[in-house]
Amino acid sequence: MTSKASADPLDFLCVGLNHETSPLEIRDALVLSESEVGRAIQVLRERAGAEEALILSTCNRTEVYARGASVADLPLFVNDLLREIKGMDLGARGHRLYAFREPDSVRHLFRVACGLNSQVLGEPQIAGQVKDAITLAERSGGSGPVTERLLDAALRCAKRARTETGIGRGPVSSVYAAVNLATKVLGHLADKRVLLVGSGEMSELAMSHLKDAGAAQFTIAARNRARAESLAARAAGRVVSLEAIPVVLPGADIVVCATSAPGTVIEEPAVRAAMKIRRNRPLLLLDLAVPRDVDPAAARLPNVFLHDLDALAVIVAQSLEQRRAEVPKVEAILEEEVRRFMRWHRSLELKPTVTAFRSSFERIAQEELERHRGRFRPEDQSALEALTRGIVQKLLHGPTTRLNRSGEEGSTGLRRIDAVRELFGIDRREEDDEDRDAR
Amino acid sequence: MQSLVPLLTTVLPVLYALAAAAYARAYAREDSSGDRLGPLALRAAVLVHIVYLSVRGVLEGHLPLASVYDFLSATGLSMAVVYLWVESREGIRTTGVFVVPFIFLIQIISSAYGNRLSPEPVPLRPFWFELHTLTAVLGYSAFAVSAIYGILFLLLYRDIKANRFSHFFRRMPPLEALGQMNVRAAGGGLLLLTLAIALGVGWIQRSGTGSLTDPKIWLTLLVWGIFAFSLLAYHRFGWRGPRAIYMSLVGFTTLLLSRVAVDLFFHSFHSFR
Repeated sequence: MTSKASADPLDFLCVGLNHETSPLEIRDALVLSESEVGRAIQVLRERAGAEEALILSTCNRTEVYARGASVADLPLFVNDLLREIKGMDLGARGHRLYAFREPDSVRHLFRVACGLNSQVLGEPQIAGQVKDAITLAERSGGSGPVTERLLDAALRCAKRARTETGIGRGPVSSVYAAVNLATKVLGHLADKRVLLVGSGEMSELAMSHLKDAGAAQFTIAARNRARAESLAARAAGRVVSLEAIPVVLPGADIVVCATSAPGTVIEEPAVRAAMKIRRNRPLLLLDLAVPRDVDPAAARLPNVFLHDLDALAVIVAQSLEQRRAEVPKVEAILEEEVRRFMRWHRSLELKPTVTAFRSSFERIAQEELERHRGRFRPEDQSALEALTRGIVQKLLHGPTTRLNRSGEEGSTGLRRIDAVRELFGIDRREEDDEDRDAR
Repeated sequence: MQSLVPLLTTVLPVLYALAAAAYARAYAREDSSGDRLGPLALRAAVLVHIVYLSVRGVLEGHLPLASVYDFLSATGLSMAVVYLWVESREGIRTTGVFVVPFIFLIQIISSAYGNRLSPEPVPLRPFWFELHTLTAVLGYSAFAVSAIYGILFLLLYRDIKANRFSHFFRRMPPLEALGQMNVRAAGGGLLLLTLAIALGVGWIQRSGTGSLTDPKIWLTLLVWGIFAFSLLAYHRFGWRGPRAIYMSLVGFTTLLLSRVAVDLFFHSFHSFR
């Protein structure tokens, strides 16, 4: 899209880049902080003439949404803006921004909010990021009636996608798959004891997910005592050395191993001995390490469930496949919401609103005239019609004049148009007329 | 009232079939958390079943447990009741697809072959002997439900061990829950069977009818012994997982075979012939 950015002041445009169009190093360099977003919105309003603007900037995308921008080439403007703020000229590096006009810009935002455009299909965090974007836009003076309505619609679409389809179902990370497996084997985790072997990032992530799933009793066995204690403090857990694993193993129901040890840390005889002490209560061993921390022979013991990253990858792959199968359902919801938004958005055009506003009064006058015609003499009919017409014209004059000025008053004018349509039920009547015509 | 019997005899298997279909539909969907059609249909079938047996009881003047088909029908009803109790206690509805079809099968056999009012057999007349029969039926049903959960446990256990994460894996309740349902149902069955045996032995001694050398009694004691041992092994000797389940399945298989053996090979007061 390089032609005139906005022939229609109502038109909502989207310009940006994401994980599909740009590599990580570019995206990383272009993530905007809150203050940078504020500054960018200000520039869009002052120099690009945008009536409304919001910016969605995460590790996977930086996208500018703007209404009413009057610059000739919005993608070029945004490219220059990013160069100004972040010191990076995308064009010079051979990268281009994508651009959409309505309704594709609306459709794109809804797809993003539903997680259809995410690296991990159906991920839920993006909806929160979209919500944060509108908050920032409000603070920076970039929001208006259209952005507010647009974001409401996007979040509603995302909510419908999550509740009416399976787009968010199933684990899509190894650690989350591990926790999922733990609940499948052991049921409720509230009374289960967890042994974390290792104190690195994986262990931290595992602990966080296990806590969310209800686990509350943690023991951490690690070489780096300081890091282990910091991790343990977050869960009121205790710390032991790696050498103490055979001692604490019998007391654990779930063992998550994620060390960087070059060989195995838990051998089969230790597991066998632990099972004897546990009286064969089920033991789940989740080996998230490469190379593996747990002796594979332990898997042969009865009531011992040993799963490594390959096994968890199977669960993740199945979840993703199921989510992909849900995409058509999400697309159907999305199209419905896009149509709904576009119908509302188009209704904000001034002329049709003024016409519909006047028609609503004239229709009422005509209906009442017809209803009471029989009460008056035929010779009085024309005087009656003139009287009714006069009353309606006088009533309409002031509001119509103010409504006509709305086209020049930016967001304030749009709010007024929206309010008139709502107050006088214009949208409802138009929908009824459309349904009648369709039948 | 008499005309109700053939009508209900036909309607019952249809209701259980509908309940089975509803549970199957919920099982096939990935997310059926809001799907209550199966439990509702099963409750409706149970209600109609109770009406059916009550009507027959009123018309026949005794508990409708005089033939093997009556026994099957009563077993089906009590399996449904036991299953609904387990389902509401555990909050798990995805196993209904494995239980309700059995109930349907039992009822359709009963309806097809046992759809006539049976003559009044002598042993069933005293109330407390009827209680013996009832507790035995409930006990056997609990063992049947326990066996179904045991099989589901073994299937899920093998899948998890083999890293097979299919639709079955996703739809089943936690493995530990299946194990507990197996143990609880077997425990309930053992209690009821104990009561049934006590009532039966007491009746023999009081009435002078029957004999303690009846093969059915000894086979039932054998079944009782197997289940008692399996529960003792579970609680005291640490028999968990597949080992405990196999033991309870041995008990249930012995129970099935003993019922068949009594009816086919032995002429005793316990036999329905």
